[in-house]
Amino acid sequence: MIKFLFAGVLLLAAGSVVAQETQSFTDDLGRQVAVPVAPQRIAALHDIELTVPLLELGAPVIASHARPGADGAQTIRSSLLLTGQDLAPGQIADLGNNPIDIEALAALEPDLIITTVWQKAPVEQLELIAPTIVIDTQSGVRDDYALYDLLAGITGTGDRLATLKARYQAQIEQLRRVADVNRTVSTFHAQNGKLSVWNPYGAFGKILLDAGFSFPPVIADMAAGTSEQLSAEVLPELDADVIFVSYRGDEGQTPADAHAELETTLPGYCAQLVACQQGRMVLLPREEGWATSYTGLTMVAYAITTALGSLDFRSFN
Amino acid sequence: MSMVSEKGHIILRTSRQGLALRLPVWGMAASALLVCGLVLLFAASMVIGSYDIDLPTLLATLSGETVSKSIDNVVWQFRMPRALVAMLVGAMMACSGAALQNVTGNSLADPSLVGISQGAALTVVSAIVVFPGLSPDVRPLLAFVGALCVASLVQALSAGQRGPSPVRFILIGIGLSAFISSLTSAMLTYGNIDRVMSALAWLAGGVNAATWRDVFILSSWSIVLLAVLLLLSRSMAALRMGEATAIGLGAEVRLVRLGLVAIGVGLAAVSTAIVGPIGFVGLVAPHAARRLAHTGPALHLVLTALCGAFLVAAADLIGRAAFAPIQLPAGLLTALLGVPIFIALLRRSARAQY
Repeated sequence: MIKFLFAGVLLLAAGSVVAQETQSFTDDLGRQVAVPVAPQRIAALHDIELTVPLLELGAPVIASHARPGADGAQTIRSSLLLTGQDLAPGQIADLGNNPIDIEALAALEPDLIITTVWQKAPVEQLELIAPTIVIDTQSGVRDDYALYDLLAGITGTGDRLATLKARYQAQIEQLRRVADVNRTVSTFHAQNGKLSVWNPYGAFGKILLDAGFSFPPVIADMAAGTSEQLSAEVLPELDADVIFVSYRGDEGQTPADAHAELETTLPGYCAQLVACQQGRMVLLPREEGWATSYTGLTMVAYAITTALGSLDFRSFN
Repeated sequence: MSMVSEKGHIILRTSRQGLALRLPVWGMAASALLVCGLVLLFAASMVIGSYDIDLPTLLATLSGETVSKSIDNVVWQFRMPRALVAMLVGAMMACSGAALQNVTGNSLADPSLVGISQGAALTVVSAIVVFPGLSPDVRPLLAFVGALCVASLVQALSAGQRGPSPVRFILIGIGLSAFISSLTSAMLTYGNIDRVMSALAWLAGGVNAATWRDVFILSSWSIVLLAVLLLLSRSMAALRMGEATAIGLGAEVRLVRLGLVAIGVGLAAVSTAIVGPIGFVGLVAPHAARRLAHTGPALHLVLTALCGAFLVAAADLIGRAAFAPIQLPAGLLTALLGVPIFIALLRRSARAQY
């Protein structure tokens, strides 16, 4: 009996050795890192750029960078809306912001740390705790959604990613079928007296581009992946057949706040926009469309499909 | 050896009275208290942290036993170098402030306020971004050159026709500091991302990124620079009474001034080269030391160094533990303390001028 028990323990030990099998990975700083083939305890050091995608891929995230939410409590930005998960004791631990609390991370004994060039916690300290991969999310090394391919490769969740991509493609096909993609669309929001414009504007912009819609020249001429803070005088140039304006739902804002911010930026703004005058300005909460998230794409694609199907385009026909 | 007590002082004399040392009792007591405070603070820095380590485990780890690799890392690689670097940087920044205040005759002179730390930061960031292959060992030297250039520029620009003005000195320093910071930002904006990342980690006021190598560099430089500063302390006493009196007392004023500027800039440059700019320590610590005990320049320097070490180490401990896992940089807490003191001193200085 004791022999069997001993053999069982040996088998379990052998199993854990197999679980720690590593593969070589070259990160965005050119470092060669030996990472576990199937990591079981991942610490992600950027909430919206790493934690949310990893959770969507079904990777075992045990700790995350977080930031204060609208109520001042620490939160993984956008995660509750997109993944249904947030910081929770015993499930996903709070590591603090920037820099993260290195001791809190060490206490959790992760087997893989994924960080970005934005995080100030020194890589030299992080790699004392666990193999550490640094990802460049700031200088346009790769498209936002190419990050999913990278993370799926690291965490062995390629099958899940294929499912997410297939679902998104089906939704884009539906949008093309329902809406007239020859119409022009515009996406922006007002903030601090300026008009914030991106090319593309998060998930909103990506979906509209992927479906085949076109933007006004002021947006289309911007370099891909860049943003600009435009003066209120440029507002008429942002007019289009349909305008999408977003507001910060995570901060307790409502569509009325988006109107108020535009009114503050340019009093009587609606008179400058034909789409606004004819009731084709759609207001959407920003969080679902701001994270790099396939769930976010799903939600926003559905909202856009619904909105475009409800708007009155008779004045065009 | 004999000892005589005299109105708040102890006088130590050698048997043939060839050498005598007059020590202020309260100054010595304040120094002893600060040393005890620092020892307690160091112990607290070893015990307190997000990684829960009980006392027996901590003592076992400190005695060289490996309880676990994680605990070894936390105690030996994270907590201990961090506490030591905070203390060394605090002492160096504080003494830099004391030297600059003495040589400029300006109680508002602080290396981070008048652009000296920013000058050091600009040269180091430039080196990291433009010459990434350059050894980190060269950084203190580069920082010294950058800091010295800025110090000279501030001195030259603030020397008006009616002589130097404390408020003008500070205003020019603040302006130059903002200008240099914008150059540093431009360097970070246009630099290669991995080099910028390295520069940013350093620029963040990296007591959190402290290593044993930093401890070695800081302690080596501080031994040399603080020893020279203590040697200059007698002449500092003469300078306090004004240039004419100092010359009358036989002080080599020009040489002493040059030495004090070099040491003040050197101390700020080396500490900035290691942890990035940490503000207001050079302003607060000399004033705190003066309030603790009225002493001669040598003991004042010792008290200033101890106050600076205590201030930065306490700020770092509070910053990393009080709101954990949220980490507040030590520089933020020293600024919170330093800004009101700076405003009070500025008002007093302005009143004295007009």
